[in-house]
Amino acid sequence: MLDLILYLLFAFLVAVISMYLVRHYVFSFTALSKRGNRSLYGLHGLSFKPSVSILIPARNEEAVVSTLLHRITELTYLKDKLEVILIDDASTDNTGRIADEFTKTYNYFKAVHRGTDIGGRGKAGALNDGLKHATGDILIFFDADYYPQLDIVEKLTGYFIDPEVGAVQGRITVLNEPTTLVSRLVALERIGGYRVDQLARDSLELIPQCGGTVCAVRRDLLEYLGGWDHNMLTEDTDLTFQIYEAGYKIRYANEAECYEEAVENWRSYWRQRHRWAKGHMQCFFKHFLTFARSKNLRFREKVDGLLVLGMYFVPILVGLSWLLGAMIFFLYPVGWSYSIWILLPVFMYSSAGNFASFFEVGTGVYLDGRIRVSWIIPVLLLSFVLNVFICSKAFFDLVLSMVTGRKVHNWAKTTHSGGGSKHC
Amino acid sequence: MLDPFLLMLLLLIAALAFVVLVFSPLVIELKKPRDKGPRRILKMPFERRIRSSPKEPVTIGHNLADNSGDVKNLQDILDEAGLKSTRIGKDTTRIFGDVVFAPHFEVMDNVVVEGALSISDLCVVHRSVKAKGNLHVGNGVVVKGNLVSEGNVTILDDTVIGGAVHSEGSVRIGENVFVALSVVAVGDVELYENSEVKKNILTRGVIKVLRHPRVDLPPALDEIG
Repeated sequence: MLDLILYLLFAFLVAVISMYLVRHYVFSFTALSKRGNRSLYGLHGLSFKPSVSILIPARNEEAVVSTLLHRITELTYLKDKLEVILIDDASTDNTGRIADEFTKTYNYFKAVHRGTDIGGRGKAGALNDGLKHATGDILIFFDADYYPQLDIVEKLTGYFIDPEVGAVQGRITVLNEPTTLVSRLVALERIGGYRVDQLARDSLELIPQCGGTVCAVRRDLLEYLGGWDHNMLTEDTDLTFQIYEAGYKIRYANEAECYEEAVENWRSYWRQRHRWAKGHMQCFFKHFLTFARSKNLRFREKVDGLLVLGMYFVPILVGLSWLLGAMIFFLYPVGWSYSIWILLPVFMYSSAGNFASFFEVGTGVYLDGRIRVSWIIPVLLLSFVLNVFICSKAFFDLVLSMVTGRKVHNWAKTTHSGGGSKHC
Repeated sequence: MLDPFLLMLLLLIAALAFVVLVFSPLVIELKKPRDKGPRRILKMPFERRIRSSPKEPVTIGHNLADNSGDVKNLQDILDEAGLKSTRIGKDTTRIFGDVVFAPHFEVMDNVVVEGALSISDLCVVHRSVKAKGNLHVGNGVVVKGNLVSEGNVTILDDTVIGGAVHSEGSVRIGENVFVALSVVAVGDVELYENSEVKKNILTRGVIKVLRHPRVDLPPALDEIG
């Protein structure tokens, strides 16, 4: 009886992982087959000029924020249609002072200072404060360590001529890629995640996501949704699903590139991914049923959305399948030809992954014309193993907070050294 | 059948071979990088190569409403016409199926049609319109927002578009038409010389400018001047 249960459980795990495998294959082939077929919506940005507010939430970002603010002064978008709001989220360094200096020099800059009584508890709170001060029809968010293309506003806003579009996500590219092994790893994940994953989801009219930065959203939509949820650790994923449930679409603009300073050490990587995993799991419990029942979504959108929501559970399932596979192997020895099924989850996950899977990354670097960088793709095995532990811990922490009734979660901020600025 | 321990040994050797095979290039690339990255920061806006791929037309369907001029409740009109619809946010209506807006019909919302849309003569649309199929705009229509279609767009004479026109197919613009912003199309764009597109016409196809038909005036009017 026990062996039957173990085999059934094992089959279930393999089935779930297989779904992600198929999904990633489809995405890679889509990205390859549609590589020359760029969307023309971005071209409307040449003439369609809505008023735009750029929101920059920043907490202790003195090392990087001035580079971004200088860059924003160079943007090609009409300055009389542009408003820049830097939200100093209870910083204890010179972030607020830098923001004030820019407001003195440029009349379209605003600084919002949040005190320690309300500030420093997460990005959602800072963005909600920014929303209160924003007057533009379109809001664009940048994290303080980002470095946008000069015409990024035009490229993002062009999509809003479509009344169905609620938000547009741009491409994130790593600026400090050669610095460490971790930054190289993040760069590979970004290539797979944006150049292939987001692009294919946009092409197939599935569920492209808001990334929380380099993202443009209609202000009236955000007000309609009531702003960002303070309790969510990944406010971007939460916003994504709220937008779809409201009936709008999110577009991905691959041509709108923005450059980020990626984390450079394993500790920062762990903290960042732990927050992402925990926040994503929060979104799973918040949106799973609402999304599945929504009348505004087609069947294939629902399937993709639910797979996105469950994405961070996959490493846990992989961990379980490893344990289960080993148990079955040693407890119930079978012919050697059957043993391959025990290794299947490992190979499947190696192909499917949960963030930017191996062959997606391979496809992405090929499409970017960077064949040689594919030589370091095996380094993704590190993140593959690490994410089993990160996601398991995140799940454990989330369940613990649900059991104890704790609704406020610590928002682990990613620290930036400013090392990326030398690549600008 | 193989001994389990022998099998494990073989698997171990295979795994080691796999590691050596896969990680050797990794070590080489890390020690002596030859990759061209990171990606350069692009400076030129909109570097694009334009290609033509127009879509096939979609059939236009049934009527939405009669000529009642009722502008207050689009939802009721759609229900009466037996059309399925949902709300998008607070100011947009999604309609399922092919739709014809009857003449003089006035629409206050943004409209997204999951099919073909025909806007008859003298209609007024206060916001933007999107059709997943072909989009036909009649004579003397005013659209204050944008026109978006995943099919072909046809705009007849004396129509004013307050925003942009976007088509994943071709665009045909009649006489005395005014478009306040750009026309962007995947396919060909055809317009009469007495029509005006205030900003750009961007296409992966061909832009054809048609001559305004020459009308011979009656002699009496010629004499008046």
